[in-house]
Amino acid sequence: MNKKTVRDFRPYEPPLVVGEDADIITLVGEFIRNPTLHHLCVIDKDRRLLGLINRKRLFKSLFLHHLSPDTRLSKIIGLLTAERSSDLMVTHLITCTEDDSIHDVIREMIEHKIREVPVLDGQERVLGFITIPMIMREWLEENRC
Amino acid sequence: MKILLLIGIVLFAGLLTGRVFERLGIPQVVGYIVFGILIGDSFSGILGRDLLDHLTPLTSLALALIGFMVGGELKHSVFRKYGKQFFSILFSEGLTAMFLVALLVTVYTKDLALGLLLGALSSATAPAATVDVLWEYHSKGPLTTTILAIVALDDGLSLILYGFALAFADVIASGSGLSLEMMIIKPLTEIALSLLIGITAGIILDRVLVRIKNKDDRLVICLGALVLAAGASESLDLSLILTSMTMGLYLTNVHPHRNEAVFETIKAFAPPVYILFFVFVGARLQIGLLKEMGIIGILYVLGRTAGKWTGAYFGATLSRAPEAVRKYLGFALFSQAGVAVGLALDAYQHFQSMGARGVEMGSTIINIIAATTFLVQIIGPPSVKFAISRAGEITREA
Repeated sequence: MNKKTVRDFRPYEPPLVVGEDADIITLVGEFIRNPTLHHLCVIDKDRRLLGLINRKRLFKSLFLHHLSPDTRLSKIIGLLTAERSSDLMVTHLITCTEDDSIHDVIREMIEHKIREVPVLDGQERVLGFITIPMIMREWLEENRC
Repeated sequence: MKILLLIGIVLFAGLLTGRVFERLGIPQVVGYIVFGILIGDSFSGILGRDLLDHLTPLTSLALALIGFMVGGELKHSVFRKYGKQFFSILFSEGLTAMFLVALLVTVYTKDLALGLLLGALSSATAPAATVDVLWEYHSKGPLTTTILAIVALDDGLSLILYGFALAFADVIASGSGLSLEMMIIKPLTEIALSLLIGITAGIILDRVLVRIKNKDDRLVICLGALVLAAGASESLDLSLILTSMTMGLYLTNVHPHRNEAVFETIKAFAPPVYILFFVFVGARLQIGLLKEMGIIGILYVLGRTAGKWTGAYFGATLSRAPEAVRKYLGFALFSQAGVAVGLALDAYQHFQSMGARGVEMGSTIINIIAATTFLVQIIGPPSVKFAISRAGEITREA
């Protein structure tokens, strides 16, 4: 895998996309439509990536009362008052482009404990996700023979 | 007894007492304080005043942690949706409680410095005991949201009010004359410098952390920066708790997602320090003085309760908050714990070097706050339940 770039992993996992005004019901529905992905992409009208909604964060906002009472209050209030995708999305993103080395992507995934990274084109539009199973599949193929 | 052995015993026994109290439906903090009273000078004398004086750096560390975590709650995003309403209620309930307590205590004791300090401390509210009740009953609605926002923010307001009150109290207690310079310029300079150190430390930490990947290094750097900033502030006779709060406030607002890990790191380190801190507070409480201070304590609780309730009502009315918020918010703001107790201990330490009057004022503050914390922590949670129940926001019976 040493010389591989993200492009070599095509086709990517197709992204789940929503607009910034999507409500909570829509968000839950999207995740149910594709249970393998852990993130929803929030995009603007030009299809550029604005942020990601983490499945676990959405789950927490639905069942807030099971959070530990000593969770930071600002975090609780953020989840409690969330009504649409822009309230829940994370904008501090780890992304990659098709020309990035796969080892750089793997390093980011391990360092930030993430299971999938959005692949962006030159206009910051989402082409898809590169995921842990995709990388492991490639590793298996290289090492089986 | 060797200090290390004592700390070990205090940690385990304090935790155990806290858990027993929790089982009885009383917040753990009260358990820690009770354990402190039992091993302090009032009873067994195991943790006497001399020994406590040697442990002052641990208390300062706990104060820095409290200030930092309070600052971390003052997030811009909390105000984004309901900013006007929250601010109106926050200032109204905090300032009314301060005003009423300061007025009652000053009229009774003829001591403006004591009145101002107790007034500033009265504006803080304990989040943990309040959130416990909201979670237990799966409370949801406008009142629940407002309660969470106000308890998150009013500790910050209390720290700022305390900064001013302490600076004024200093001037009054030192008897150095009430000139314009002493009453306005000196307090403002002290507060501005405390904030400046906090912001500078926040900027440096924010920049350094981008380059640090190793988790262990991050813990050392986060804690080191906090202790360094708080220590610098303390060395310059400024407010270490305001410095720590500003540092937290800066980090949580400049790069909220990136710096989330900083708060999780510091938070993970804090529990044992907090247990020691509350036990030490209990150990400083002098049961014998409570009789003498009883009236001040009663005035404090009355002024605080009335101030919180009426202030919340007027703030909510002014900001046109829903009826449930207007009528019942005040009932959910009675709990008091970490920040008030922390500030009381800070005031105690601060006035130790200011002669007999300073020592007396410090002792009075710590005794009043520790004793009233019992009371309000016991009446606080049922009051929260009353408020959310009347507002119709309970979605599950316990």
